Amino acid sequence: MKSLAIDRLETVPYSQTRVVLSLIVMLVVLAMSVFTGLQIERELEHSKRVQSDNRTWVLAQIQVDLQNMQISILKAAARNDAAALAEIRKAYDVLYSRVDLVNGTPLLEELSLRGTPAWRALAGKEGLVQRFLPVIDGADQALLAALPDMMQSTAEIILPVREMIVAALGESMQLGDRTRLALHRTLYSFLVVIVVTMVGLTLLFATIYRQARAQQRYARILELAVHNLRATIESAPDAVLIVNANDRVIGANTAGEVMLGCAISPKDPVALSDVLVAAEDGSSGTGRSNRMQCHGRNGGTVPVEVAIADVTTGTGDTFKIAFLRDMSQQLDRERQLALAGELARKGEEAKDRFLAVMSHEMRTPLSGLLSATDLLETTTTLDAPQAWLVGILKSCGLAALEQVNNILELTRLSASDANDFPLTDFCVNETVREQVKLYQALALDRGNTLTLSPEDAPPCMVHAPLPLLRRILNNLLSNAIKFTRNGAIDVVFMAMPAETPGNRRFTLLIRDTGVGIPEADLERIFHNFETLDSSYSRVQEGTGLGLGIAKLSAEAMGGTIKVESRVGEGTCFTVTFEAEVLPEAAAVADVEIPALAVRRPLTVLLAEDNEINSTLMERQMSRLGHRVVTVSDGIKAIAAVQRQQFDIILMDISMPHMDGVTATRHLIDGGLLGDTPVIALTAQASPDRVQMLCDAGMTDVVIKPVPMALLDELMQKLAIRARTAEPSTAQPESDALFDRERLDELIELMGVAELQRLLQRFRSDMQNTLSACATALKAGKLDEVSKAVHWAAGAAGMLTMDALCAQLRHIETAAATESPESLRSRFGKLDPLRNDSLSALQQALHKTRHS
Amino acid sequence: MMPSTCALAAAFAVLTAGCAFAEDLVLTVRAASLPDGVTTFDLATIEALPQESFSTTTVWTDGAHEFSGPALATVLESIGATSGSVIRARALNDYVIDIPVKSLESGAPIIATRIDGAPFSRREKGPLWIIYPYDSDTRFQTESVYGRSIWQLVELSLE
Repeated sequence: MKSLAIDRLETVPYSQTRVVLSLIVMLVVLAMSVFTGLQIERELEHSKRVQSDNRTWVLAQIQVDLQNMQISILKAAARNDAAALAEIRKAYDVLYSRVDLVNGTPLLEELSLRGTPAWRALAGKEGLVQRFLPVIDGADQALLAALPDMMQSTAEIILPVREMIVAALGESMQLGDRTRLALHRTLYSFLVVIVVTMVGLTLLFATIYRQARAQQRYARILELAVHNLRATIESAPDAVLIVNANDRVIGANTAGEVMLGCAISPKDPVALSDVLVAAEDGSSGTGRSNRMQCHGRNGGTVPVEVAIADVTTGTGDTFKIAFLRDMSQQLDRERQLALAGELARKGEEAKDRFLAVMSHEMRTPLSGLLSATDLLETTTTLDAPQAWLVGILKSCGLAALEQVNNILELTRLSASDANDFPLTDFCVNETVREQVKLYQALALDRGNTLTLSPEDAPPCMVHAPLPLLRRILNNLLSNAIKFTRNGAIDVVFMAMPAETPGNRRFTLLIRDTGVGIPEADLERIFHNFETLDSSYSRVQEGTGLGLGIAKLSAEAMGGTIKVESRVGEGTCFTVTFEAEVLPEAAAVADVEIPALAVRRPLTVLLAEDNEINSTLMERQMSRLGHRVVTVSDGIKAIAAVQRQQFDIILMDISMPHMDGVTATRHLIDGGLLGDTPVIALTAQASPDRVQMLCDAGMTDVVIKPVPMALLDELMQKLAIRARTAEPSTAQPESDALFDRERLDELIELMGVAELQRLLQRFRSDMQNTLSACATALKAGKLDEVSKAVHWAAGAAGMLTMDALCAQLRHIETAAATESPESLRSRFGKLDPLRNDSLSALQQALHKTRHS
Repeated sequence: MMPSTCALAAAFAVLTAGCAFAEDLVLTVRAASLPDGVTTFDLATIEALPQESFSTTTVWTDGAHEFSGPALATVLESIGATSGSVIRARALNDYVIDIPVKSLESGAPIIATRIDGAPFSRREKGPLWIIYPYDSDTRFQTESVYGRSIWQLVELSLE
């Protein structure tokens, strides 16, 4: 409606030009009328004068007067008395004056009368009138005597005068006709002008009429538009206030009047500052729209959102329009939303607490169950059915533990971000290598080869969340092994420059030749609790959480994880992440610590109040060769540290009398701890708690139930780091023929019979290798020697023959630098060690089998 | 068209004045209010009345001339001839014209006795001539006014 009105109104200028045009035409016509009018006036004036005295009359009178004189002469001739003579004289005088008039008057100038011979005969110098003059003025006698002559003269002139007058009359009529024609023409042109004027007036009138109609229409449209606008403003749910330049409200719509609690009129304005005040929370911004409180006249207060617009009218006046939106309901909703959010958050917290408690409650009995099964298997003699049953017990217990661990892990990852994971300095290549090594046995167990390339990547120290990387590797490796049988698993680890300065970009490929994943399921495998209803999931039972954990871990590191797969051909997981790289110097310092140094027995203080856990852990650690002192609370732990130096302290957190955190703080404060690492044992695995424990001075945290292999590894590493930090003895070169503990693990994993088979194979392979080396040496192919020795060293290491392995590594290194003679002598020295190692291992396996 | 009065003008001489230059009676006035219904004026009497004078051109003369003489109204008032609506004026040749009494003004017309200060004879349309100040106003330039401008005036008759 508004646009329509504007469109129509815009056509007005066109009409205006028409009016102007009409006016100009009118003016021209008017000028013409005036001109013609003046002309007519002049013509009329002229005709008035011309006809002021009638020429006809004057002309006719000439003859009348002449004939009057003739009659008077005739009478006088007949009567012959004085009276008759007087009559002659009177008639003569009248004729004389007439002739005089005709000669003098301008009336007859246009006529040729005065030039005619008849006129000269009458009025000329020798004419009748002049000839009679002496006689008329003379004595009566003379006049009487002249009468006959006068009679004749008069009679002679009568006819010519009459003819002259008739001719003059004709002439006069023609003149009159001419004059009338001129007048007629003028009148005619006047008529034309009048007609034109009338037409012009009619057009003007029509234009004015149309203009008026149009104006009326515009007025109606405008009125409608204004009405609609007013109705729109009136029906608006928001209060609309019109505020003048003095900040006074001079108008409001219905909603506005209801909000202000009074009627508003320009005569009774309300100060804006009286009704609008800043909101109590001080949130009134500097913007055009902000929240305020509206105080009505009736005492009500409404929270409002105010928007103020400046308006300038067509006449240059300025005022403001304030839009007030009632925010009561929205504020209510916001409050309810906040409340709901708070409740949800509390619910989430309650869930976390529940999971934490559940973890504790489930892990402790599981821990007991598994440790007891361990001991049952290793310390008692079982017959075949019993061993089978214990195996079931153990695998079920492990499965349950995995489930619980995974769920807790997932909870922890979901509820946290990257900042929740403490960053530590570590060698990333070494970590990958260690992790791959850990899974070698498992891979071998399922007939798979597990290789890492490049095998000898240069060390690279990074500052990153180590546990997350380990978790990714563990989950992907165990997944690959789980779904591959008699195949190959390749791990490729590469470092590339990253965009961020000081960072490097790492890519980890884990490729297997397993069953593969159907394309349709590729998306789903990272979903939590997603077990595929296909052959992939039926191959092995699993929680379906492993890949989800890996994905969340990668994301928590700021990285990504992708998968490509083909059913029947294999699967490849690609993990990419960035990490801050430490300077070379720091890297070198750390790398010098042999990450997988030969294990050594440690003196361990175990503070644990749960008697079952304490006993089980002590036995497990003793089996690993450690010396363990157990105490049941924090006070006793402090006392033990005062008495004796420990390599490492395992501190349960919740203990009677004094808890682990307090005890650790006392130890630190008392200067008793030195460099001794403290590992916290806790069943509550939330990230907050881990952080709190680290803040309290714990070196690391291990979640219960404690996986002994992991704990042992951690203890070794921490103890070594602690020791290298102080000036210590040189790293002892392992001279043991084999490593008892690792052998036990291998036995546990593969069984004695299998190991014996492997050992037998190693023996023959070794023989072949050595003879191949001798041939190569002769041929001078030192790189072949190096390659062969590399394989042999790896295999010896696998079978825990550390001394042999070390010796082989030396030869491998020397192959690059030393002469064939020197190498040959090294091979010569190798034989006794090889034989000793093999027989020692053979013997140990034999013993184990028959123990 | 003015009706021709030639026939009327022919024979009847009402006035029997002997000589054109005689000091005799020049104007006869008839009115019901007069003792005998008639009175006469000689030129001296007329010139003794309050005089009016103006200069004007006429359609009958060449150029402007000074005309002087008493107003027609003055002449009538001087004899108490006031009752009546029309003055019938008669010329020497029996030309007759009616002048409504209402049209009389204090200065127009006059009965001119002199042109440019001199009396004028019968041959010069004298001795009496009813003259309006034609140049002073267009209302004196109408045909009826010209018609009333009667020369060689001899008689006025108030009816």
